[in-house]
Amino acid sequence: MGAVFVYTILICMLKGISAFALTFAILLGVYKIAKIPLKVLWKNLKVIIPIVTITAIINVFLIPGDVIFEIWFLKITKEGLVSVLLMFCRVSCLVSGTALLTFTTSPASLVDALEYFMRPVKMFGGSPNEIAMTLSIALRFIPTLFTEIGKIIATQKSRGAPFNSPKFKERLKAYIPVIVPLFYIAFKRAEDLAYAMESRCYVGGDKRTRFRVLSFGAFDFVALMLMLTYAIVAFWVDRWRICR
Amino acid sequence: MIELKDVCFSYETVTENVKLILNNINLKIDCGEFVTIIGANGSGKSTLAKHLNGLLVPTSGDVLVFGANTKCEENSIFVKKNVGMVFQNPDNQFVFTVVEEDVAFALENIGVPQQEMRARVKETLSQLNILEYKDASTAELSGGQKQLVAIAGVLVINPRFIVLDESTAMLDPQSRKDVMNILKKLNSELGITIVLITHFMEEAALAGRIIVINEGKVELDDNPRRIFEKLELLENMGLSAPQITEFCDELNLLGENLPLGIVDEDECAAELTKILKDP
Repeated sequence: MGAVFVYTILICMLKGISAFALTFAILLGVYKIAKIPLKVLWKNLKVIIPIVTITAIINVFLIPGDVIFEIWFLKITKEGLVSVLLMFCRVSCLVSGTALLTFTTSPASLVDALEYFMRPVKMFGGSPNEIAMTLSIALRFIPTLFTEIGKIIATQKSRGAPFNSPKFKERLKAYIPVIVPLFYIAFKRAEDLAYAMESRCYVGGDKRTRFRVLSFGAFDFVALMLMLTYAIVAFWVDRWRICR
Repeated sequence: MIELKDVCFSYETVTENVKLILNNINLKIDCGEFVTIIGANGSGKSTLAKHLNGLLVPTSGDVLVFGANTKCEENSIFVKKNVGMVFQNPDNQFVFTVVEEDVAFALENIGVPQQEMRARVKETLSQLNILEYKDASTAELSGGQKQLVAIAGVLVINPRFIVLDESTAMLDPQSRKDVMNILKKLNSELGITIVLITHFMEEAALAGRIIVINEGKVELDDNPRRIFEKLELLENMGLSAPQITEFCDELNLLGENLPLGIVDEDECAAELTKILKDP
């Protein structure tokens, strides 16, 4: 998690194509080592394409500089093109890099790490353990609620709800009878879970012990060193604008 | 021992029409018993179950767990350590997604050291024959396995009582049988008191004692044989008897003279053999 924090700051600082090329090469290597198919990465990147495209279209026409193409009042500048290219690289690197964390780390470990980093909250009377527990349960119930949505949609479809109507307004209206039972189910599940947790002696607070204690091992040290090496090299490559 | 003295319970409402969910319940459940609670939907079975481990406290009257009143906040952990509770849908009970982590949840809550926790989780999973799933995701398990994991989650703190609120309702017949076998084993070998709420009369008949709840009151409290003798009364309360009991009753209506309240196939077979040999 710490490495992702450093990585995010670094990616936001990089300004050269060469540094992004280096980052992409390293990311591909890490994906290979982690045995994550590139198809999965592509699936993640596809989600951001519409947002990046809209931003790119706006940027490419708005950034002033050396005009290289002009139609009526629309001017495409060299600076605009470079800016769009850099933005595309930056967003792609951010998505691919941070996705690695969720691909390789279980939600429970993520929450444990979050709890560790939230220790200062104690100084203000907060309980990192309770915040982490809330997050952990929220993460745990996301797939469950998606399954419930699927079931409710199937039920409403069988009763003739127009989810496939050509009219957008009708399709939108069809989702109202999905939201109401979904809320009911979510609250019912929350109540059941609260009873189950209470009957298993849960009272919250920081006196709980841990079944799985995070410890900084040799692998973590090697990973941190590799991350720092990459950060220094990428920063150096970017600073000297190699192959820009 | 769990003792319920004049227990009444109603939910707070804004209107003046207060409906008693539990109406003057007096019960004693001793250590080592295997008790089933039956009753029609809305009769108050689940509300009663939630009183047994202090999840709900009576509006009037007292619930005492080994003498500790569930109304006292300081008894809360003691009560929950002694009376574990398993619910109908295991998916709604899991806090974590990995089997051993979820089973350890109760131990984490009572502050058991990590080494001891690992040993106790392993021991509990072995007792229920599900050790091989310790690293599995709870989502990958079958309904029966999930329910066993849920039972492991309460068994791990060594409770003296386990209350199961329709915990076999969502299972297929084989998984139900597996869960029932485990419950019988826990009762006979470890001496854990089992309180099982069920709609399956065959399951109810396996217990040593059946408590029939009707409209928030204890209507009957006896052994299975004596309970299932009263077929008409059960029918009036929206309940039925095990198939074997109803089969014997049908034969009696046709003129045979079988004993009332037979709940065991072997006994039924023996009685029928007697009739066939000596018509």
